[in-house]
Amino acid sequence: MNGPRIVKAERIVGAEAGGVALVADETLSFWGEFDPLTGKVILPGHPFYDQNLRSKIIVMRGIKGSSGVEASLRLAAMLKNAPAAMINIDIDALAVLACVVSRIPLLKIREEDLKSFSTGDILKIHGDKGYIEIVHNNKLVLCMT
Amino acid sequence: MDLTSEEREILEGKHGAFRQMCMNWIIEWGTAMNAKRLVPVSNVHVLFSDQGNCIKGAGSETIGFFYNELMTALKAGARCFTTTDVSYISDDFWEELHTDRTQVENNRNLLKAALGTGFNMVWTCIPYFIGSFPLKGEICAWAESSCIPFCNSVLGARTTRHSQASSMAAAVLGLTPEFGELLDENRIGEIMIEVDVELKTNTDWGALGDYIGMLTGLKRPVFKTRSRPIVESLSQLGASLATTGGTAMYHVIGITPEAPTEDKAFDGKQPQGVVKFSKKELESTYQRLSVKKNEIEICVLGCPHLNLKELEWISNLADGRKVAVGKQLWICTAYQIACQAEKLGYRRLIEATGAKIMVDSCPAVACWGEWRGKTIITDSFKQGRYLLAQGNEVAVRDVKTCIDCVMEVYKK
Repeated sequence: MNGPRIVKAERIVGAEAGGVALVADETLSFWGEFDPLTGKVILPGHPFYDQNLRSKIIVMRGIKGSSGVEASLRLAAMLKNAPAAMINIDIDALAVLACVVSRIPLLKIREEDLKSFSTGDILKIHGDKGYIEIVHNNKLVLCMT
Repeated sequence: MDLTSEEREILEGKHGAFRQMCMNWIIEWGTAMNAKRLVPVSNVHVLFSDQGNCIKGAGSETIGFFYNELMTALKAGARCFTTTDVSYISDDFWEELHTDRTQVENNRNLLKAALGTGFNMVWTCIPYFIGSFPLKGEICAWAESSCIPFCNSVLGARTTRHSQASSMAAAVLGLTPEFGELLDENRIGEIMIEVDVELKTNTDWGALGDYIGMLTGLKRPVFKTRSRPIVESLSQLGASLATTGGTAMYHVIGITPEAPTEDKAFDGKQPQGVVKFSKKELESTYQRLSVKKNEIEICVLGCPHLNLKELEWISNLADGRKVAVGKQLWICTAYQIACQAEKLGYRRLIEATGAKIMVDSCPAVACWGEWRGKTIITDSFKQGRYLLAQGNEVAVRDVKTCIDCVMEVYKK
């Protein structure tokens, strides 16, 4: 298996975080499509449907939709149901606000780097140093087994 | 960020802990968004309700936390004209919708406590139809994803996308970070949308927004169309664009104030892309949100809230008819508009059919979880999208079709 891989990222909010990645080339509204009381995505047909985002690192295109996103994520964070960090390609002003208020690290990656990540990867975020470390690449492990 | 001495004092806590928290929020937010300074706002539309539907089932401690925060905001007071977005609670239907009694009481207390604070608890998502009408260039801080594109695109006033914390901070401090759509360079069109199908109803404009929002996301689309919208069409367009996308601004060439011509809409630059919207795309958008007509149980109209013109129209469509047994018709509007409709007799005509008029709230929030599994028709793609996420079967059609689906055979 290859060693840890590094993906360049721009720090928007926060600095350090670590956790298991949930990855999709999709957007999500954290109000209305996500339940802060459980941490689950409730939108049928969404790649994260019925998955729990609690303590996960969410790698996706970005946040869309409702302006309730910050209130919803803040509630999730209070109840310890919020993601550990977010990694987005498109940075919505509301995603930034939500992450500031909820103390969730937010990083921006380049579009072409999204494919470097896959669900199940273990990530370490080094926001201040401007990169994300893929400590354990799920895709490679799957290939080996 | 460059701060004035007063702003620095607030940040240091000399004006109280709540203002300090608000200042911390907007400075950290503004810094991340590359804002150079804070600017005064003259008009705020704030999300001012507890975490509401999301909180349904949360403990009393959590409910109490958010209630106390809102009370603290009221004590601090608003420094400029401030209206509030829809509440999560419908005071007329809370029992029927199994709303937590504490939350209902909290809401009533907030309304009482708001007097004299500068917070106008209008609880509607259409401040622009009830007298909040910022002029071109006016700096605003509007929350509510459907209001934001209306403010920027239709009124030509200026707001970034706001949520609860930032709009509350804007109200209490009278300040907002200067970035995004507040600056000329971030108001220029980015993607050209060539519409070559006739848009006949307001819901057709909603369909256009639903389809295009998925493709353009946070970017600013510019619509080129021969169809002429009315103001309600643009309400639908912005609402659905912001739901599937998240844009804060769009242009309609020849209609919206910052796009008198194609050249002006793009500030003389080339669009980043061109998308066609034709009959095929319109039909497929409706096709995605379709159900069998005989399975429809509930019809919901009023997302964004209906204005007086629409209530007049619905009263004409509904006059002399009855909502069929086993079906429901919900009409959502602002309190002020419902009062006017009562005086004019529209309300009586509508309620005589068995329809329910909901003010201050709307089904996407007040009925959270109550209608799971129901089959619903609505004229709004925004409402349709959020009802889908709540586990409903949903169809979106124009107002007349919606009403016909839940009414008995016409008897007039």
